[in-house]
Amino acid sequence: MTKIAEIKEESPSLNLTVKIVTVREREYENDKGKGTYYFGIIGDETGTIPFTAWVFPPTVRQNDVVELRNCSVKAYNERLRVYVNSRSEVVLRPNDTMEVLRTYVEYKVKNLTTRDQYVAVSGIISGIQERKYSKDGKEGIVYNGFFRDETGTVRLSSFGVKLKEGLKAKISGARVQEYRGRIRISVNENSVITPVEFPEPQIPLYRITELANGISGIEISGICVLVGERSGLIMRCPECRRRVEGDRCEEHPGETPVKDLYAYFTLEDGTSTIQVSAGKDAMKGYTGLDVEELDYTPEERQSVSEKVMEKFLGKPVLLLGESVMSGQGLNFRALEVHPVDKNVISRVESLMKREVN
Amino acid sequence: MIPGETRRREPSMWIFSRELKETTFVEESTDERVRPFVITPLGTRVKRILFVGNITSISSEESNTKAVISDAVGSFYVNASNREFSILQKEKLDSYSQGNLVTVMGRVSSLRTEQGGLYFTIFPEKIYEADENTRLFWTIMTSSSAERKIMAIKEASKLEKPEALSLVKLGYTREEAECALRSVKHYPGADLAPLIDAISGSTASARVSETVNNAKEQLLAVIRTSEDPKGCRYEDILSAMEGQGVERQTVDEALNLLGTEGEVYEVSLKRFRAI
Repeated sequence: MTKIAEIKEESPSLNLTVKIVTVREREYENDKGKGTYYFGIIGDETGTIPFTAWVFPPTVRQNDVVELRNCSVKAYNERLRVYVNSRSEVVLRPNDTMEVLRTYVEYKVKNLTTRDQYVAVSGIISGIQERKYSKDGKEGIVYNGFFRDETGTVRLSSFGVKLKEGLKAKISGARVQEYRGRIRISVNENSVITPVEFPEPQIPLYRITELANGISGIEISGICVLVGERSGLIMRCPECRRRVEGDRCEEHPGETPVKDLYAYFTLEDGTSTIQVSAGKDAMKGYTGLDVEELDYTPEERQSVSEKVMEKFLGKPVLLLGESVMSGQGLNFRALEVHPVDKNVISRVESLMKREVN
Repeated sequence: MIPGETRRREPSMWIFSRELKETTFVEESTDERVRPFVITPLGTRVKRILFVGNITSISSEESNTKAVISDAVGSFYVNASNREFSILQKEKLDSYSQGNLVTVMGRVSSLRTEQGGLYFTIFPEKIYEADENTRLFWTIMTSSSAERKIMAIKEASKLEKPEALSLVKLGYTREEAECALRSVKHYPGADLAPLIDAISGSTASARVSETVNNAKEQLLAVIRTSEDPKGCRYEDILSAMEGQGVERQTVDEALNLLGTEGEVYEVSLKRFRAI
């Protein structure tokens, strides 16, 4: 029998005795018809590894100990995975128990993906706020905040486990989820939080082509090549946040629309292109336009529109914000917009030198 | 376009004029109305480009305006006609003059002569006024992009069967990997050394331009305040500028630039006067 810690490379055939740590099923359809496959995590006292089973006994459940005979190991998404197919044999050992050493692949924040649901990450816990909640008659506390490393920031939540503000920590067993196009992680009683020491991470500056997931606390730079014609001073429904063209929101006619200032534009940096939106705070900092001081008149709207075009179109900018996955692909929400000055050029140059070297 | 498919805007490539100039391969287009893609020696597949440069010459006629716009390593040839779809760009180009720094986004058009020579013209879609920071930013980004492609090409050349995945595993992006494969395919055995040399010096060249441009105003002030009726002597200019911490080479380049822009003329040998 092979131990999981001994699996170092692809293998056509091996035998394992393992505990089913997690198992989920999913339906598929191909040329040969429909079917169901199973996937999850298996483990033993030496470690854990993901698995996919094309054939799997329906009686086998999570926490069961099984013998997997003649299974194979192949790399998938650059990570080794055990495969159980029609040549394999799955033997349930109902009387056996097994202690599993949970092991997690270490990820940087920017590489987090829901393809790997449980991971280890190292970074700083910040912005923690606690909130009471009630579920199934029981009361609990959820801690919400952020977790950042040198590659970016994600939202962090913890159900029950208190999080210490400013703690530099390694979290093993953090669960990765996606919510409204943004990656987030959560910890529970099975996660292990260990204090670690590392230098204070700087805000990372990326080339557009490097952005892959919805993460925040990052910077990108480029030249604004197109600015949306509807950028500028608008009215917005305070309830649904949609733009209001007339006097009232069609869906919320009882709400009084409020003024808002925003821009959306296309940013290019020679490596790729991305759609960017910038809200009133970002606009105030960059253009000097304060939505509270503007009147929603045709003249003012025209004047604001011209100013937005003048400040963005053809101009190089540095943006601080978050990448968000949407139906149209990856977008960027700018929280701060800065002109490209000598300091920015110096940072871009060191990023590029580091990459080239 | 396939029904239901969203039309994706073709992003602009950031390349140096030298990379375009040394291009010899143009894809064949099955549709005469569609402008074909150009494949550069670094494998960049280009239809639309964006660049920042100095207008070194411009000539305007009723039907079209032609401009030569220089980046750190060469020149782009830009042509805006008074046809319906480009008249706004012609008007915009006409509003600039020699010496202005501009950002241009435009379509690449190729012309192959009977002798086999290949020439490229840029039809501008957008022209914006630029500044020194924009030029330096563009030069650094473009230089880095080119250098990464060059490294990917070197890696691809070592592979028996070059594949994009092998290069991606080495840390190159999918686009860089595909550029390398296109370069190996369409420019087998090409000597990229001159192009590499030019690109590697681009940022330094842009920095020199920035320094020279900064020195121009100081130099103009020195000449204007000179009370010598025969024109300000070169030695006096040099002495005043060196006193302000500007090196001789920068003074010479700034003086040449001011002469080209028509701001200064040489009254007699090594004596200058502002216009």
